[in-house]
Amino acid sequence: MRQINAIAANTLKIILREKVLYFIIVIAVVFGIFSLFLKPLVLGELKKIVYDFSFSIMFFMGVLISIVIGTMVIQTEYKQKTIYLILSKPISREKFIIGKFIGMFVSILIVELMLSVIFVLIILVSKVPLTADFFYSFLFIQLQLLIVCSISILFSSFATPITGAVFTSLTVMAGIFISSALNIGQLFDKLSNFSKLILTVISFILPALSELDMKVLTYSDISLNWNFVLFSISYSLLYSIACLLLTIIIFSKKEFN
Amino acid sequence: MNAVEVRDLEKTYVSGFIPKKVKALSSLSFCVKSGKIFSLLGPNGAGKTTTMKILVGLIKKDKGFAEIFSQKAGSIDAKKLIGYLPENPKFYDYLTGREFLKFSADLFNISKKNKIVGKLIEKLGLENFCERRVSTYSKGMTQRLGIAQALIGNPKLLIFDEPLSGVDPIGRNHIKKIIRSLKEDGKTIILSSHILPDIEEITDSVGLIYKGKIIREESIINLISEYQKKYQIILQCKKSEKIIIKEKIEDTLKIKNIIFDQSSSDSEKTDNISLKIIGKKKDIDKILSFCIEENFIVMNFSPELSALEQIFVKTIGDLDETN
Repeated sequence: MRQINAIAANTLKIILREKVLYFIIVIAVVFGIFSLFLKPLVLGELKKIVYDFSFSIMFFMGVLISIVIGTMVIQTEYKQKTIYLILSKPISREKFIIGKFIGMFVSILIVELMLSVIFVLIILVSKVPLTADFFYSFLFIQLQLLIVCSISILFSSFATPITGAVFTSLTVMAGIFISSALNIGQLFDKLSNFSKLILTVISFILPALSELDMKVLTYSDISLNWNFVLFSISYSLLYSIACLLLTIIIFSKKEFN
Repeated sequence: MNAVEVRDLEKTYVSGFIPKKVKALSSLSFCVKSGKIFSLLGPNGAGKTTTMKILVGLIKKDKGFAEIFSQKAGSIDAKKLIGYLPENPKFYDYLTGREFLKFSADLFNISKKNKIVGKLIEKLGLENFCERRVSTYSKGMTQRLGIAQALIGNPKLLIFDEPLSGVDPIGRNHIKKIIRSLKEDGKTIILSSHILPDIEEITDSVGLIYKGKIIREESIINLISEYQKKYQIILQCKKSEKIIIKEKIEDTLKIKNIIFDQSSSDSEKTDNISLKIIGKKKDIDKILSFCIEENFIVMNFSPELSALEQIFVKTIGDLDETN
């Protein structure tokens, strides 16, 4: 465990030194503050607007950070050749990947916590009631980001930073939009059986990110189903573990010429 | 007891969009005795770094056998016994030397890391700069930190890839001293370097590697006795005396096949020149006695090239010509 902790702590240090991280946080805060000025335009829907804004920004900034950091977190070690000094030590490649993933997710969690504090302040300033649903939605965003992080680290294990970023972005977008795209005009029902099979397989492989979007809880009267919470946590963990296992398989075959 | 045993190691790299195969190692075999210093020498691209990387598990072999103290090379058990210094080591710029050593200790699962790191800092003479960020280190400091991190975990085998490259003479001396003291501590060391006279000073045996194959494996004592045949004298004399010396050596001493070389840096304005005379050991011995008798100033008397330089130039040169 000491080895994983060391890799994770070192990864955290690398990531928290990235200036781009703070740039993304500043943009998030600016967008958050912007939502306050929409008050005269929203005709009593302020709660929905503020909550929607807060969660969307937290999610998209988290995704952006996951993509930027995820694609560089392993590639930087290759590029700077620091990986020679690490992997020549008695640490398995599995532990290296797990440490990297933990460091990456913890750094995203830190940023998300900072953003959540800022958005709580914005909610309080705009005199919108702060309910427990805010924190449930926050938890679901973290589950989504856990999946995004694992996808990002998977692509970074074999692709260049740019192609890794493109692949991660496309997978995340597909994960967000595929279920809603299939529901438009009952598109799915009109397809042939073979196409349905292929789409079912693809939708099974892609992350069901839209299913984990719980923003609606915060401004509607729908109560939280704890079975669904448990299922969502299990799904996110299993999906991330599957991605990490694939990453480990790819990374274990990697050679450092 | 063999610390390292490598037999029939093969490795081919495949690279490019249209896969192109490059054979890096071809039936490479050698052994390193425990407690000895073994040097892998060869031209660029001969396979020295590939061999070292296979031993430390950064690259996988295609075929063959490689063991370190009877543990399979690349395994976690083998890595526990190895300290590795890569060529031009790179550290995390934002860490200090001490922080990097502590990080390395964590990778070895060492619990008393502060004590061990403190001892290493003292042993390698890093006290004055271990609290500075690694990004501010000179090449010599970087190499010393590299050696220190390789010593974490008290490994029995040390693999140093080009430990002397890019380091100034004082730094090189320091690193050579460290390597000698590590040998005295009972460590087995595998080195690669292009600075052959330095290697000659510290190594016990040599493996000459060419196109992925060991073409000669020999103890340094045998190599020196076989190859150190040409010697040189550097004299200081007047320009007018050059012809006289030459005539006397050829006519009086009856020595032929001698090379006379006047230093090109000698100014036209001065009358004094440096004259280099190169020949076989027995001839140079006679010339040396003659020069002393005639009261010429002998500036230097030494082998023309180090034994390793001679074997390197001759063996690799011959192979290049035949290929």
